[in-house]
Amino acid sequence: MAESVTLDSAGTESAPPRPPGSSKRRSWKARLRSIPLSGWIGLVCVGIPAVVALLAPWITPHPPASIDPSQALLPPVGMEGSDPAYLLGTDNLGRDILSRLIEGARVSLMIGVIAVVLAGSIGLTVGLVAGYYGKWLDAVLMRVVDALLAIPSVLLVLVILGVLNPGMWTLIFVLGITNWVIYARQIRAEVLELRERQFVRAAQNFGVPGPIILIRHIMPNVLPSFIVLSTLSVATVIVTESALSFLGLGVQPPDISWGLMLTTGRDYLATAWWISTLPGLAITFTVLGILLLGDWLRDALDPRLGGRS
Amino acid sequence: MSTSVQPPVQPAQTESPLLQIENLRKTFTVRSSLLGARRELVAVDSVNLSIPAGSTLGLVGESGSGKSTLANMVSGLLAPTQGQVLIEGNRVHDGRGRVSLRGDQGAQIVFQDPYSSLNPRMPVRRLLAEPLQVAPRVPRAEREQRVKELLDQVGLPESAMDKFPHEFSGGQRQRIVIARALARRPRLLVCDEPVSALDVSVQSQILNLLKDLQKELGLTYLFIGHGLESVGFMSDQLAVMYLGRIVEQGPAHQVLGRPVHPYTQALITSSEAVPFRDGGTVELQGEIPSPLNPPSGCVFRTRCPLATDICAEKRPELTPRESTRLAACHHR
Amino acid sequence: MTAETAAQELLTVKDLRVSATRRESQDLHVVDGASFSIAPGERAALVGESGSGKSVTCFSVMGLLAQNLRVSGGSIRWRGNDLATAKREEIRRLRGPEIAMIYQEPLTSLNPLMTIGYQLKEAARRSKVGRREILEMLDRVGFADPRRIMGQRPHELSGGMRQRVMIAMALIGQPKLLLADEPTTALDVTIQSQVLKLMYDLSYEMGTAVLIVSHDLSVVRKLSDTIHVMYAGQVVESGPTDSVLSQPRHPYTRALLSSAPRLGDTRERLESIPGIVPTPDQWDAGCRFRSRCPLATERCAETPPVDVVADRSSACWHVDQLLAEQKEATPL
Repeated sequence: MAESVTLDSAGTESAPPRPPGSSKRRSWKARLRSIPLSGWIGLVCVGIPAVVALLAPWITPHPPASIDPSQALLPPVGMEGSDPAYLLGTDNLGRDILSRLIEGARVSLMIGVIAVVLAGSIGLTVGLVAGYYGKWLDAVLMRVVDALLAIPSVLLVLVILGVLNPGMWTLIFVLGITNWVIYARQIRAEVLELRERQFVRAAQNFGVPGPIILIRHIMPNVLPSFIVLSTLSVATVIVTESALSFLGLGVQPPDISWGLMLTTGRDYLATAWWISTLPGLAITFTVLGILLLGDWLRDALDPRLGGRS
Repeated sequence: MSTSVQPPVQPAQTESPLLQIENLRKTFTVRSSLLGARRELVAVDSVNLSIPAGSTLGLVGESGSGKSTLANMVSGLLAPTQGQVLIEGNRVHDGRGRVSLRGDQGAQIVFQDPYSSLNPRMPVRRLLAEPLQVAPRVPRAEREQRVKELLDQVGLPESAMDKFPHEFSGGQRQRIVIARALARRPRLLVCDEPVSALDVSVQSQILNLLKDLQKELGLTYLFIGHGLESVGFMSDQLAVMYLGRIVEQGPAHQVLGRPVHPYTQALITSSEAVPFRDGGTVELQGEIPSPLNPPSGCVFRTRCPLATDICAEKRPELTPRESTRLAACHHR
Repeated sequence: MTAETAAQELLTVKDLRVSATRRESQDLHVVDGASFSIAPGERAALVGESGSGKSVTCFSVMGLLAQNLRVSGGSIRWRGNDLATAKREEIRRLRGPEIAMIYQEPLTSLNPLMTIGYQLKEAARRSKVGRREILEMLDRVGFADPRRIMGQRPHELSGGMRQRVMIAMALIGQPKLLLADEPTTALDVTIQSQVLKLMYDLSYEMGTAVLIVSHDLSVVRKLSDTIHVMYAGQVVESGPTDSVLSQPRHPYTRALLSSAPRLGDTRERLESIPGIVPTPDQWDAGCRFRSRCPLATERCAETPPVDVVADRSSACWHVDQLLAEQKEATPL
C-alpha cells in the first residue's frame, strides 16, 4: 500500500523533464522504425484479411457459392485424399473453403467495422454531450443508457431480428444500436473529469464556445480510450456476428461470413475438422491483430510518449 | 480592442476602480447522500473589494476560505448567487447566470497548476492562438505575429512554438500559461496561486515576470495565494479571507506590519518561523471548521485565542481602522 | 571523519549513487555523490528543488526505490551495517521497528476501506504492540477521543488528522529514525505548523531521529537541527540549520535564500537563479551549479574541494569570495 506510493514519487523524480529542443519532428522512416513488434504483428494480422477482403471478387480460386457434391469433404492439401485444386479443402457441399474464407472476410470485416463506426459515433456524441453539458440532458441520456443496459442485449437482438428480416444490414444495425451504450458510459465518465481540468476552464475563460471546447479540447483527450474501446468492440462484434450467424439469426445464405462457416461445419467436427476450424482460426487471428493494433495506436497518438510505446 | 472604447479619463481622485466587487455571495447546494437533505454551503459571503487600475490586490486564505471561488466569479467561470462584479464599470455577469462581457473585455485567469492548465495534445502555437480565434477574432495573418510577440514578452524563444507542453519544465509552462492569458490584451489578470506548484528558484522568476509585465502593460492583478510571503511581495493592497469572509483588509505593508485580526497575526507568526528548539510555538490550535457547518457569530472564534461570549453571539462586521484599513473583530 | 565518531552515527550515507536503468541508452545517475550522516535523536533535513535527488536519496535508505532504480555506488551505513549491499529482505525487517516513514499525501497511503484502528494494528503487529499502546499513541498525536478514531475510516478525517494518524503508525514501533518525505506540503499553513510541532515534540520525547525531505525552507527552519542542501544529485552544503541559513557557504544556498520573498520585503524584484537545473545527463565531475553561478570561473569545471569548518561543510571553489561578499552586504 504505502510502498506503491513511494515507488511512484521516486519514479517521477527520476525522470526529469526532457530539455526543450530534444524532440524534433521525425521522418516517416523513423516513425516506421519506432513501431514495436506487437504493432507489426497487429498490422499483419489485420492487414492480410483486410487486403484479401478488398480483393475478394478477383482472387477467389473458385466461385465461393458453387456446389459440387462430387468434391464434397475434401481435406486440405497435405492430407490423404486431398486435391491440389482445393488448397484448404471443401465443405459438405463441395464448396471451396479458401474461396469462402476470402469472401467471408469481406462480410465479417464489413459488419465489424460499420457496426463499430455506428455504435462509436452514437456513443461518442452522447458521452461528450452528456458529460460536458450535464444537468437534465445528462440525466435523460444516462437513463436511456441505463434502460438499454438493463435489457439483455441478446433479447433486444432477438426482438429486432423478429421484426426486421435477418441479413447483413439488419445485423449491422442491431449490433450498432446495442453497442453504443458502452461508449457513452465510458466517454461520459472521462468527460466529467476532463471538464474540471484547468485547460478546459481556461478555454471557457476566453469565451470559447461549448461545442468547440468539446471538439478541440475534450475529444482529443478521450480519443485514446475511444480507440481502445473501438478495437475491443470490433473484436466483440465479429465474435457476436459469428454467434448470431451460428444461431441462424445473422448472415443468411447465400451470403457467407466466418460465423456462418462455423455453423456449416459443426456436424462434421469429428470427420472434417477443417470446415469449422479454419474460419475459427481466421476469427482468432483477426481479433488478436485488432487488439494489438489498438494498443499500439493508443500509445502512438499520445504526444507525451512521442509515438513510442 | 478594449482600450479604444474606454470612458474618457477622469480626474485621479474620483477615478472608478478597474475591478469592483459588490456584496458578492456564492452558495452551493450539496447533498450528503442520494436521499440526504440538501444543505447550503456558503463559499463566499458579503465580499466587497475594489482594485484601482494598475495595482495589485493580494488575497490570502487557506483551503475552504473561498478564495478560488471568488477568482472564478471574477473571471466569469462561475455565476454569483448574489451581488455583482464590475470590470471597468461593466457587469461581468448578466444576473441570469450568464457572462455578459466579451472575451476581450473580461479578466483572464492564470491557474495554479501549469501541468493541467495546458491541453497536452496541442502545440504552443495553437495554445496561444486559441484565445485569438474567439470573437472578436484576430485575423489569421496577425495571429502568428501576435503569438511571437507573446512568447517574447514572457521570455520564451520563438522555437517554442512547435513544441508540446510536456517538453517544458514547470516554470516554462507557467510562462506559456501567462502568455495565453495575455493574448487578448486583458486589463485585469486573476492569478490563482500561480507559483505554489513551482520550485523556489522558479517561483522568483515567475513573480519577477509578473511584476515586469504589470509595469510594461499597465496590468491590474487580483493575486491569490496561501503564502503570505509571495502575496505580500506582489501586493499593494491585501485582503485576508477565512471561511468565505474577508476578516482584514488594507495596504499590504500595514496589514503585514501591524496586523489587527488575530487570524492575520497567526498567519504572520507561522511564516516568520521561530524554530521549535528556540521556543517556537504553534500559532493556531484546531482545524478549519467545515464551510457546511460554520460557527455562529465570528467564523474564526473556534480557533481564536481572544474569543469570548460575544464572538459566538454576534458576527463582527468589517469596520474601519486607522482610516486606511478594515478589520472584523470584536476585540481589536 | 574518524572511525570513532562514525560508530556513533545512526545513519551515514557516503558518496551515494543511484542509477536509473534505461532501455535504449546508458544508465542515468539520478543521485550522484550524496553524503551526510545523522546522529541518534538528531533532526536533519534534506533540502532541494525537484530533480535534486532528495526524495530518491530518502527512499534508498528505506530500500524503497522504484523498479528501474538501484543503488550503484557508495554506502548507506545503518548502525554499522551497509544497507546499500543488504538484501531487500534484510532492509524490510528494519522497516517499522528501526526505520519508519511518512509521506506527503496521507490519503493515498491509507487504505480507504479499512478503519484507522485496523491499519494501526497492522502497523503495530511487527513491533508486538497491543491495543492499549495504540490508544496511548493516538492520544499522544493529539486525538482527544482515540477510541472513536479507531473506528473511523480515512475519508472521515481531515488532511491534518490523517497525517497525525500516519505519524502514530510510524512511531508506534518506537523506531530510531523517522523519514518524512514532504510531510506537510499538502496541508494548510496553520495545520502545517501543528503537524511539524507534533513531529518535533515526539522526536524529542522518544529520542527518535528525523530526516525530513522538503523544498520549503521555513518548514526546515522550524523543525530541523541540521540541514543538508542538495543540488543536482549531490549534497553541496551541510551544517546546523541556523548557521547555514544565516551564513551560507555555498552560492546555491545563498541564491535559494535570496530568491524567496520574505515578509515585509521591500525589494522591487527578487533575485532569481538564471537558467534551469542541469538534467542528469549533463552532470560532470565539476561543480554542477557553475552554469548558473555568479561566482563561476574556469576552475569550477574541476571537482570542488569539500571545505570542512567545525560542524559545517560545503563544496565550492570560491567560499572565500562568497564570505567576503556577505560581510560587505551585512556589516556588523
